[in-house]
Amino acid sequence: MAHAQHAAAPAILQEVKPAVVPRAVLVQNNRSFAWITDKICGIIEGKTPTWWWVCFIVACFVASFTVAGITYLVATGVGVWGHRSPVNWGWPIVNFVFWIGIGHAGTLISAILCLLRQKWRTSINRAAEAMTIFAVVCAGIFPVFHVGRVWYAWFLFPLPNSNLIWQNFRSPLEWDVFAVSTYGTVSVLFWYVGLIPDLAVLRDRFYATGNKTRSFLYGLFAMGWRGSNRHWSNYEMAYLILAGIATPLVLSVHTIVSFDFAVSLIPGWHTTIFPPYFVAGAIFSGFGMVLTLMLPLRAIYHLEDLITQYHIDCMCKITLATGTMVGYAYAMEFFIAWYSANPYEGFTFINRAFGPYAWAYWIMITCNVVTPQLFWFKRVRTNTTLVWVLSIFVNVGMWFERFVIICTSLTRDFLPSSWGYFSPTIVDIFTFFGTFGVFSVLFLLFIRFLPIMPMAEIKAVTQQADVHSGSDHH
Amino acid sequence: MSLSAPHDPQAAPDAGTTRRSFLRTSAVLATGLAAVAASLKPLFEMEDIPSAEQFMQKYYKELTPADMAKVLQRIEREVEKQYGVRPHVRDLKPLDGVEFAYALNLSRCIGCRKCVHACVAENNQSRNPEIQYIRVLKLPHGTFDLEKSDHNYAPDQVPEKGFFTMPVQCQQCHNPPCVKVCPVHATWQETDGITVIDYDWCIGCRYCEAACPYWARRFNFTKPSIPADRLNPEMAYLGNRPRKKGVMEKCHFCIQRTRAGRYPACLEVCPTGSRKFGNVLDPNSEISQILRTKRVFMQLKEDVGTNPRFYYYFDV
Repeated sequence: MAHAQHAAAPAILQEVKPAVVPRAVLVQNNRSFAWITDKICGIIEGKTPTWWWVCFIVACFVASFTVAGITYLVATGVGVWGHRSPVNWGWPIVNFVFWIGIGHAGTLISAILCLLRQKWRTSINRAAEAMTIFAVVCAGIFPVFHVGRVWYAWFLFPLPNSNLIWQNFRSPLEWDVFAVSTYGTVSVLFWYVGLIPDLAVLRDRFYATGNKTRSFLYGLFAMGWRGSNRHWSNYEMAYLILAGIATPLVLSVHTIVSFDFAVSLIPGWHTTIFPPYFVAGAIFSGFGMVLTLMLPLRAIYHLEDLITQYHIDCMCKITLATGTMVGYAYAMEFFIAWYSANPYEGFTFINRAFGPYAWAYWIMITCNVVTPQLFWFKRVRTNTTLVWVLSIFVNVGMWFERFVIICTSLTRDFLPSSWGYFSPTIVDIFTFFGTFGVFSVLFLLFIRFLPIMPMAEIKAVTQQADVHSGSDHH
Repeated sequence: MSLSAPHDPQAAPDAGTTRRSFLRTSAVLATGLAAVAASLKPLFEMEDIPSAEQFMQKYYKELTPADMAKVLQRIEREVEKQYGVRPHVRDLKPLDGVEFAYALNLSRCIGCRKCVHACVAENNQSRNPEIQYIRVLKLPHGTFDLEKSDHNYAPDQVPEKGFFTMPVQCQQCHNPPCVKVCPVHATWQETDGITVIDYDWCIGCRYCEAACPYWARRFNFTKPSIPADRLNPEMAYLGNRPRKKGVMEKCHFCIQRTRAGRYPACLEVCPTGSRKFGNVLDPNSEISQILRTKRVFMQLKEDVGTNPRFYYYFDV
């Protein structure tokens, strides 16, 4: 019946013959389920490659910079970092916002794109979520250790301590504590729930090859997954619920981070545009980092069939869109400063663009607004090397954005007696540099021991899993 | 999900532990642990780790008088141990029916900075690195454009012709932004209008400093140092007792003096009598009369809505 109706399509369609635009294929070369499993599990099961060891040792070495820097800081005082009055928040807060921003792509990909049924998320969501968690770890280091007395940092948590003192819930810093810890928790949960079916696959494969230890460990975390219909239906419901919970978090975390500034009185911070502008910037930087990480992985492990040009195109387009939003926000800040006729705001923005930190401002504009515009061109999006370089520009630009916001406003606030210039110390530089090591160590462990892509989800978007596969042409 | 279990032994060639892989792993782990241990060394040489007593201390507003007596004794012991001077530490409460205000006569101030130094001597600020609560701005006659101010002026003699000076310190706002942003309630406004800091509760996040439009707050980025013979032994818990590394401090209207019926140190030392201080709730106090009758032209940065208790006025 339905077929008959379909066949008798409106005559107009016969007449105009609309072009059939083929849908992008998410798994190329019509790969089989077995191929996908072997490909992804092979990364874990194969011998540890030499490049992995080299990278891992280098990453550990770099990470030790953070450990050493933080130790020296705690033992000596936060004055070993470059922040001084009046710039009482220097690099640590810049680095905090930078890392937490990077952590935004993960939840966006896993939660919002899941709810919007953007199937291209499947091959990148696992790694992006891992990146999110590791970025949150790196972000957490800075606000905790930037406080003068880190051994009292637990005062920030509403623990049932002997004092039973509530924290000051009017303080945006306190909101941050909840925003970031909630985000971290939900990201870990989401990541873990998604991992369960894949861990079970690894459990079974290691069992089959006789590696009992690893089979046991993967089995432990797979929590008895057998892939029954009941398991899948519960799993999918849990995943959907978590996606629902995580969706507002994508917006809330960076909104609240922006409140640290927006709620304060300092000119250049005290503005209502901050929340949307920070969220757009965070997604922008997150996708920048996803590209930075995924493109080398794709090349090393020959994952071109799973991370297709279509995936890269999508990520580039999101980067372009969010980068343009950020550019709009920069312009709007200037407009509002002029339109509000507030002399402090006006001064602050002119000082940002042409004052002592003009160099940082123009690096920011170049990397965040100008270079992403190249993603309009298909030739740029298909040149993976160029995409990778541009994604690094995004990372650099977004770090400078936070630097510009924090340092220009603090160096030129209300009274000239509190004007200064911020310069980082060597400890600042080492500690920040070291967090890339921390991040890399975690990420390398991730790609070595956990499936970097969700096998089950990728299988669900293959052509053979699609009951309508091939029907587009009829 | 269908499982394509490979029974291919090539898939996992390094299953199990060999002697070589064990030795290699152990060597990597040992090197790593040694590196971590070496980098943690400075932690064991730290001096200012809080004592268990201090660590478990209750929140200021929850301390009973008996608790407070113990805390004060502990502080006295600690100060004596560090400086060799036995201080007299008190916990002075706000007085009933008192709300303090400060007025500064811009016609008289000559910019000698004696207040700055008296404040340092009274309030046990760190001498190295140097911490001062009062900053004196020099402005050319005929303008209040603070962008034209200079706080690094160093003439041979003050007052300088064609300039006037304006000392700025904590404005003890009615609506203090610093109190709102403190995540742990380590700073609050007392009933007599003084915004205080509990140095035992401050975690050192410096948000209050970022929030303050007057740059009234000063942070101990490193260990403060005061020569023992310069220590002022007359101390208050919320006032001038020595601070530790990593805490915020600021002007507290010399709480150790003003709550005991004395004037602040900056006022006493002022050679021109530009500084006036008192209880605004008493209509006959000097400060009330000044606020009523003089040309009190401004509260600094009125436009940010902090409503300071610190007023600037002119004689004429």
